[in-house]
Amino acid sequence: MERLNRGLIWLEQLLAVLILVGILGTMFAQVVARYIFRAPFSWSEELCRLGLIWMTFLAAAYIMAQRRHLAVDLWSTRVGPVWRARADLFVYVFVASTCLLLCLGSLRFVWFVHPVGSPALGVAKSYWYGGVSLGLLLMAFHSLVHAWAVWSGQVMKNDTATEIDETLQLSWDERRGDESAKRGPQ
Amino acid sequence: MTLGLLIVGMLVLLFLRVPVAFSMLLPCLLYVSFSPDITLGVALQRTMSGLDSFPLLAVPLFILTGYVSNAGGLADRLFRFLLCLLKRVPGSLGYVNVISSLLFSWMSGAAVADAAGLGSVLVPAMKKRGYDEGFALGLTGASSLIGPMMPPSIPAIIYAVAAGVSVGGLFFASIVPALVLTAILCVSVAIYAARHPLPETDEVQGTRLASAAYQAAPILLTPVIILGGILGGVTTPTEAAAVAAAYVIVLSGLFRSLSWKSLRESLQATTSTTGSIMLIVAAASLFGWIIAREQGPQAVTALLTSLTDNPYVFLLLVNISLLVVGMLLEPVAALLIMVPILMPAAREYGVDPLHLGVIMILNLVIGLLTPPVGLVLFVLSSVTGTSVQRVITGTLPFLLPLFVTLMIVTYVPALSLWLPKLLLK
Repeated sequence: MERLNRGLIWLEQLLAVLILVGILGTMFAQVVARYIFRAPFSWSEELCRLGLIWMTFLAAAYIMAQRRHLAVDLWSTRVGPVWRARADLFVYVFVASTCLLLCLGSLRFVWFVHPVGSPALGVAKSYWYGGVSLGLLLMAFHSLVHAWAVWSGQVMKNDTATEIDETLQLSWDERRGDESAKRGPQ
Repeated sequence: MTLGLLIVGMLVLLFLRVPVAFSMLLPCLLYVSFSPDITLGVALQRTMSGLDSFPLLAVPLFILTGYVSNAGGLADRLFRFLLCLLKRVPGSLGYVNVISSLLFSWMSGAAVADAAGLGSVLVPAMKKRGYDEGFALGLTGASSLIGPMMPPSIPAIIYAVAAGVSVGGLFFASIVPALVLTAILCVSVAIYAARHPLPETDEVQGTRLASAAYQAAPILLTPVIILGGILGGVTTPTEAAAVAAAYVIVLSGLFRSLSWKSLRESLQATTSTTGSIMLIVAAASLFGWIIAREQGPQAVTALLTSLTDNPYVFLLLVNISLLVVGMLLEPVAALLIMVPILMPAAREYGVDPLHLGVIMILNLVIGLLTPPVGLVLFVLSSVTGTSVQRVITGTLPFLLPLFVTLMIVTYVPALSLWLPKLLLK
């Protein structure tokens, strides 16, 4: 399970970065095509919007795996590790349930819109909504992995946080004065 | 009643540390599940439609510009140039702190990046030169708020999309208020320097001004590319973001200050920040749709108009409520929740949407400096190795110049509206 989880995080990160590079390249090429070659693209805007949807939900999935979604923390520093673990368990189960409810509840809709194509690219609408559904499914998976880790008392290692997030996390840990803070839902 | 339950449900979930996006999403999904005339397919559609927007594409591209500028050492070059320029002025490091934030804000639209990048360098340097630690921390925190005010500002793009106003218009509307904030912070530095004799800085001994200016000059072209492109009608704000991102990548490459590893990390950090922000945008899209469906904005407008018919009192109420919201919520999430609620009421009172946007952004970014969830406080604490309590006590006096700026921006609409009217006729 741990290997699958890590493999998925790696893949989600890679795809999100490739899509970002694609968006940057397409937008830049659009300006060049319009002003240098006098031949503006008709498809670039739609492709980038599709890319943004996929990138958002792939990135949202891997930051769920890294527990770095924005949350308001008003009290967790004032309670012991047991209560914090219980609260974390609630958060993970809750997030997984929300993702699964929206993903599975809207499957019929995604199937229904499949024959409809987008105006410029003709990409089936199910691929647009499919990005959201896939992202929700991946977030549910990562949340359940965390929930299992908390339930079984394992420590999940956050090894891919960015520098700012790491220092931010470090500051929290120092203030809490215990190592278990690294297991927070963010 | 339904609307109240929805909002209470969201607040309870936020209190339980559920991530912001999911705190909004689940009450909405329950609402949809119990509504006989809508399906979860509609919920999915509304969630995705929040992201299916061309102006929003500027968000990841401007975030990338900020990350690459930091990783590629562009911020350091600006910093050294300012040190050389102002080294003989009393309180020079204080001014350098404020003006570095102003210059860096042209490449980055987020206060956290500014506080993290400049705080780690400036706070120790200021302490070493005899500045009070609290003053150094407070000034760095307050000046980092110029970032989300000055274009390209991420909250401005989010507001523009949520309110249906021009991104370029809001960019130009926020320039003068950001300069007012800069000027007021410079006055704070001048008052401090007059009361505390400070030695001249020696951080850049041996570096000539001409050489530092030569090193910094190409970086100062970034705002020209962004604002000039938009103003000249050459690029849309999204295209300007792409050109600016490509420019800072090439520039950092030419300076040989950006390794492949740093570029990869900047790209990863960009997708990570984008995923976090955009998931909230997607959830808020569904949340906003349900609020509108339940006629929430009309209810708020009716309540406010029953309280007062004076636009100045209305703006005061808006300021108070947004300051409270800003203390609890991150600016992007707060904007997405509050814009659909306040916009119709503001229209009733004749408040210009661009002016309202500037007021809302300034209010909510002040929340980044106030407990319990002031993100800039925690970033400053971690990058300087100071306790959060010390950062809070250092920041408190700076809330006064920030509130003065807020009052000026709120009650002098011309500051926000003059430039867009002049440039975007």
